[in-house]
Amino acid sequence: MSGEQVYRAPLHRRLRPLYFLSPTLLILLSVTLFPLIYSLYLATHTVILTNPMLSGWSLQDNLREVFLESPEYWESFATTLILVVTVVSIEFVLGLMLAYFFYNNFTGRDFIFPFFLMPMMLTPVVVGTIWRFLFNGEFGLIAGLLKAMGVVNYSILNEPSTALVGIIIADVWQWTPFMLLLMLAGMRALPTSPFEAAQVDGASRFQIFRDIMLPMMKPVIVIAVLIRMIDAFNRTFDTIYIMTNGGPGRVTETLAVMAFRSSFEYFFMHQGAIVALSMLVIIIIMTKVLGRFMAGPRED
Amino acid sequence: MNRDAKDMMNAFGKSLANRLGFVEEVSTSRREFLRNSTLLAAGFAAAGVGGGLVRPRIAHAEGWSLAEAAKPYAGATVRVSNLAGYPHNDFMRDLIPDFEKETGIKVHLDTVQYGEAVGKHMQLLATGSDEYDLYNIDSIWFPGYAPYMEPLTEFMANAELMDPTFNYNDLSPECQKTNSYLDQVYMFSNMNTFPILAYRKDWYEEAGFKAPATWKELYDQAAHFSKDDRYGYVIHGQRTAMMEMVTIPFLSMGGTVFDDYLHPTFSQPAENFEAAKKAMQLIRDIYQNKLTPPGSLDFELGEASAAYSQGNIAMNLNWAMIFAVQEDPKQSKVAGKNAYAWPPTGFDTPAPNGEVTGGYTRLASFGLGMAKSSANKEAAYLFSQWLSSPAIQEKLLQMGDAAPSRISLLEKYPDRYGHFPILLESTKLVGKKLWDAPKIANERQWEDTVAIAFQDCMIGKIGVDEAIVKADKDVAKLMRQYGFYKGDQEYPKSVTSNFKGTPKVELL
Repeated sequence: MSGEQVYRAPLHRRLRPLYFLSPTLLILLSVTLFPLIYSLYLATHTVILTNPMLSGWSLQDNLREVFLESPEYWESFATTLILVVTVVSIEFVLGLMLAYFFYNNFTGRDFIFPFFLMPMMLTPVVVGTIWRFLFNGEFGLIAGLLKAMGVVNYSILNEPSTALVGIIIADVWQWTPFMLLLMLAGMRALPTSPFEAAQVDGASRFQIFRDIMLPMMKPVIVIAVLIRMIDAFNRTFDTIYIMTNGGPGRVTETLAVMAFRSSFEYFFMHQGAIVALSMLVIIIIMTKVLGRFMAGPRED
Repeated sequence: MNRDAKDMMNAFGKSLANRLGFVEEVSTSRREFLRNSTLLAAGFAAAGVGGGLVRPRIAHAEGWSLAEAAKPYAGATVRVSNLAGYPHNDFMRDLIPDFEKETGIKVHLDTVQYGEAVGKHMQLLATGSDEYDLYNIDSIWFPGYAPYMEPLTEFMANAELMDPTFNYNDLSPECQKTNSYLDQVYMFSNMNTFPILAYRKDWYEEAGFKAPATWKELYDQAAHFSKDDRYGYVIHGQRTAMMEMVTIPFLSMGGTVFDDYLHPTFSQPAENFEAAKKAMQLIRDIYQNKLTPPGSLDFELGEASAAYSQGNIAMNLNWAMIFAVQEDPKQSKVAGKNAYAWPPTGFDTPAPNGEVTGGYTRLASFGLGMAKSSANKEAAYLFSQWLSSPAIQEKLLQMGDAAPSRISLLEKYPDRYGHFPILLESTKLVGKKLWDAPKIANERQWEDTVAIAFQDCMIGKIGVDEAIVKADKDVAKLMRQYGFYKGDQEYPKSVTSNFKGTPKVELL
């Protein structure tokens, strides 16, 4: 490097990319950074819409109210955790099995494949409404089937032991196709030579799947599970809101429902902000832990 | 939140404080607030003054006409956020062109579902939005809206705006009581509704029964009818309705929800606890013994009415405004087959004359509240006044409205619906039948808290005694969070609804 003249572009030219990027950056900042900062403001102050006289800094009081004085937070946390772990596990297994099924060639594959993707294309509100009607104890199809089997007067969403199961069924129905799509894309992107070599060596189909295909798909699996976990953590809100509204009692009230209820039904904006920010922290931790766990040791 | 909205809030706070001679400067620190003052309590105490019937000054100008009054505002657009699904609001759409033609004022109606309305409205109002001039409000939630609403009193005293034929005193006094706050009238009632017992006249005649006078009788009759895919009763078990499902029998058995210090009183004193246990057990037994359709734990008034309209339920304790649906042959299999009665009182012995001090069946009155942030207040007032006027209310009644607030209309059309004689009777029995619930700004939250405890009991998660104590404990906790209790402030009965004089209880 010594003695070489390094060319430095003039400042205006170096800033030019920033100039072109600025509209996008401004929009991104305004829709991501501003809400985050405002949430922090809400979380550290008392903001009750129906009682505008109460205001001012109150971070400690707010944290105490939500985390120490409110068993509801921890109940909702447990519900959220059970929901996320269950739906992501089931969707992963089903998605993988279905992807392997569609990975193989068979007659009519291209015809039936789009039908499997249809639930994913519906909005969660529609999905919630469909399943609410299906589970209705009076005239729902599922209640009718239960009745035919001799179980009368049973409403899945009204029973504390099965209400969350109803939500899980609806979520799995809607989002398994997403797993299927990602897994299938991952399988089809794999090189064929390792599989051919394994076949020549006499490996069984199961051995090929377990020892070759799955390890090679690890990056896709990590991404798919991460996306679904984040999604299940935040976005099951719509379905739950429509199907059970958090009930019966608080059996299906997840953190997302609690944040909504605190902010927009009780108008305790600071409590809603704290719950929402706690969800952000949990998601960041989950992402890091899962990322490390599934990626394994780094290879240079 | 913009500066105007903040100024508005501060002004409201200061006005409350000044009204009772409290500090001039309103503390803005929460800690300071809780430590030093009972300002919030003062606000609600002040609200109590308005909890009674307000007698506003009413202007009277000879030769007044709507067209003349509206001339300065011709061309303005009044924007209204209306509640969806109520026959009154559906019918009014057809009449609005008449108002627009006569006044030159445009009216733009948006509708919002009842369950989402308070949340959406509060977000708009708290940010000082002028998107709507008028908000269709259920009086139950009004205390939460109050800081952001403009009283109508000044407009009523303005001879240029006040319609001399409006006949304010013809509006149900109970309804106008709920539509008033801090000595001011905020809304004209255009819906007068409370839970009334609808029952199948044909089934009752066949069984030789009369309408139940006590809750035990109601249970026994429900059990009698619950067979062969029929149900005796229909519960509204959703969280938004659960509290009043239990509270109506509880109050009718002599219970009180709060004492004068806003300490919750479901579990104290002993007689309240006994009444609450009986009421909770009764509703739970109805549910667990399957005297109500499966899924009714998820019913609100609309679902309950729809289920009853299918023709396989004997009794439906529901809000008066919904009866138009079940009496409409196009929507209901039970049209013309219903009789109506006041809900029962007492567990096994009815209250004398079926009357209970302070009332027991919950009153709600709907009206159009005017936003402080409205840029078209006079035009908005004229529309609100026109909508609640005798002539328009009569047209709406003829179109099918089942919950009119005007006494003269209930007298003129006693046979229009089977429940009209009960509505009319309610206007003459102030404080004996209708329960004007406590006027607490965080109404939704304390009700939901009670509802969660009661729902947990319904599904067998906790026992009856535990549910009642839990309701009291959880309500006390959130009331503390809201800022109550620091000054051990006594509140007027119009805020607490403690008309039975329940003594102060220990705060759980």
